[in-house]
Amino acid sequence: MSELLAARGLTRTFSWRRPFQRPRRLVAVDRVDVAVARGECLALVGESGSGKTTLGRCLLRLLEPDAGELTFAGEDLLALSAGELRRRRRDFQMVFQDSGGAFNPRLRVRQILEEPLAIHDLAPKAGRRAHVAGLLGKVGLGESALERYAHQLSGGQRQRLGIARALAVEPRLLILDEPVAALDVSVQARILSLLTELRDELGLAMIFISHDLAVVQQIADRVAVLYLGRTVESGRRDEVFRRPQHPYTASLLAAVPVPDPRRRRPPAALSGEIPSPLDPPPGCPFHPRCPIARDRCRREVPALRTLASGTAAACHYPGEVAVAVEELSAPDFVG
Amino acid sequence: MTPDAAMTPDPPETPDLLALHALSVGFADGGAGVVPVLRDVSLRLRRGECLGLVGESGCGKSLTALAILGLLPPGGTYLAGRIELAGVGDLRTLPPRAWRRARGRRIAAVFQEPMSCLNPVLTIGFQIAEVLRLHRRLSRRAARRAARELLERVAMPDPEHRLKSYPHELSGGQQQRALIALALASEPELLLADEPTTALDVTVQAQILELLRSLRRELGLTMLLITHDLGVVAQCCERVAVMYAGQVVEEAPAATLFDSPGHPYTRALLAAVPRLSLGGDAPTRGIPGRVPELGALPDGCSFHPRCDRVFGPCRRHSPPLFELAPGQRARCFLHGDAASVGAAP
Repeated sequence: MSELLAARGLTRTFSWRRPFQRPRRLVAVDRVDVAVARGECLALVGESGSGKTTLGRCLLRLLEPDAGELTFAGEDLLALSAGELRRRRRDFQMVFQDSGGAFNPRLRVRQILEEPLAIHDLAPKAGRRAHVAGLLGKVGLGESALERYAHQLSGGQRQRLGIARALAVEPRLLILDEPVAALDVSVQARILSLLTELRDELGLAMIFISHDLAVVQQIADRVAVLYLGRTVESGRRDEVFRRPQHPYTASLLAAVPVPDPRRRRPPAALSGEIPSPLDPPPGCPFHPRCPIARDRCRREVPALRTLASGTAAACHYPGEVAVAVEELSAPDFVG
Repeated sequence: MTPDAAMTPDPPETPDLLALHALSVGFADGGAGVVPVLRDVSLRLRRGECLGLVGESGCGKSLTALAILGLLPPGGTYLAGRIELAGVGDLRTLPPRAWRRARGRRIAAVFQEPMSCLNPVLTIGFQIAEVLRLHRRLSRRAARRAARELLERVAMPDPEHRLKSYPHELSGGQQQRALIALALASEPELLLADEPTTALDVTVQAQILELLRSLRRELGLTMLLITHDLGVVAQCCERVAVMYAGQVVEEAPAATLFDSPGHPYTRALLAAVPRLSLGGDAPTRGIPGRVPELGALPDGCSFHPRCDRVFGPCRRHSPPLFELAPGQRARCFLHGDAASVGAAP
């Protein structure tokens, strides 16, 4: 499969100075590689502070990366001027988590959806109305929503509107930042099936940013797990979920509460919390919390290496921490 | 407790620590009317058990906790029902001071946003010591020592140092630990935990849930765990009550609820939960339509416009709770053959 969007060694640091203090530097995204093909969904998974949102923004140049390469359909995105980038953005759109804050409160739904069409000069003025109605239908919103304001919609409807706005310019790639995190499960499930339909129907590539592994399991083809700004594991979803190679991935999977009272989990294996990215530990960034950390882990940063299974893991001792596989592979049955 | 033990109904002599009897709460709608937000809510908390209260946003689960505490937001009024706490009777009939005393000493609460519950300008140690001095009449020095012990009890890293920390200096998980320590300071019998892990990362959530489990085991705490996450419920609770549009629509032992849900809403909710399991690959299913506005509830059963099993009586009559199995009750006419418990509201 040829890559639609590809990033290599993408890095983004933030630095600031305060009076009487030495300047501080935070490496939010540290030499990350990302690739996604047409019709494919890549999930970026991590806990708060893992850099997943910053990475998502860098991939669209909503934030400028400090280093690395970024190509879209073979074209170097980092070389584009601001004007060229704006035109090129038609091909890749973003859906934000906070659907309450993502829309101009003074615009009606019709205007929200017409705006991108006007900017990219897509539909003739006369045909825009029909186009907008078609978009609403595509995301499962009725035409009755046309004259409403965003705040008059429910959370699920607003998220549909966000997807409709992103789809208005017929993009080839969608980046979705926690698109279902704020929604109730009954609504979440419907947004996920909408996204799956759109991907199959339009051949969209998707980058799905989420902290929720159970949600990621529903939608992703491939998964990249981030920790303190670095990719610690990436590979095919089924492979990563069945045989996680990095102890952090295994711990994440083991920490998800299973909705079955007969399968109560043993006490949490992972102690502590994600360290401050301002003061990352030396060696492997995960070693202070790692159940199998050894001396080498405290000294030497493990490189991301591709293993025989096709999964890549940044661990000196990959595959040593296993999750109870049968727990994950046994089909849950809801009567 | 093993799931098997949870399946068998407790012997009748197990006393209830807290029981809600047909509690109804309303909010002024701006005009002369009152919108009912809790309708005929009956719950029993047996000593030492953990009851899960689940439902989607706006179903009234958090309001139930606030109603128990007597902390209804402005505009809220009790319309009917009783809140019986063992040993003191109906809390609503107590004078405000007595209710406050019961709340402080015997019932404690932990909420979702620890930052909004901790005072930002006081140290953690001061805030915990304040409760100890007020409720347990400890001296300054004894209170400080007890505060340190409490932080150790909730597995706060570096407790001595953390006594002197301000809330913003702690991580989210540490703030939640501090809040739990604060809740434990008055040595309560009942802990109301409202979405205690929702704002936390999944690895930290697992730690906090384990902490709550160990506190129950070691201190014999009774717990009402309010959450939208059926995974959390399955991992922590012996019994579960499901709320929809201000009503309890089903109540059952946890294993029964997950194995054979009696209410179509419970079944739909379980089908919507995303799961890690790969083998089955059954996609989750959403629930069509949306939760009704509390001011404009449909006639009959509140869930009927979204229900896939709707039939004759659902559109006209509000179903009472029917007893399906020992300890399992559902507010649904599908079980019309079963004995109804309590009249329809």
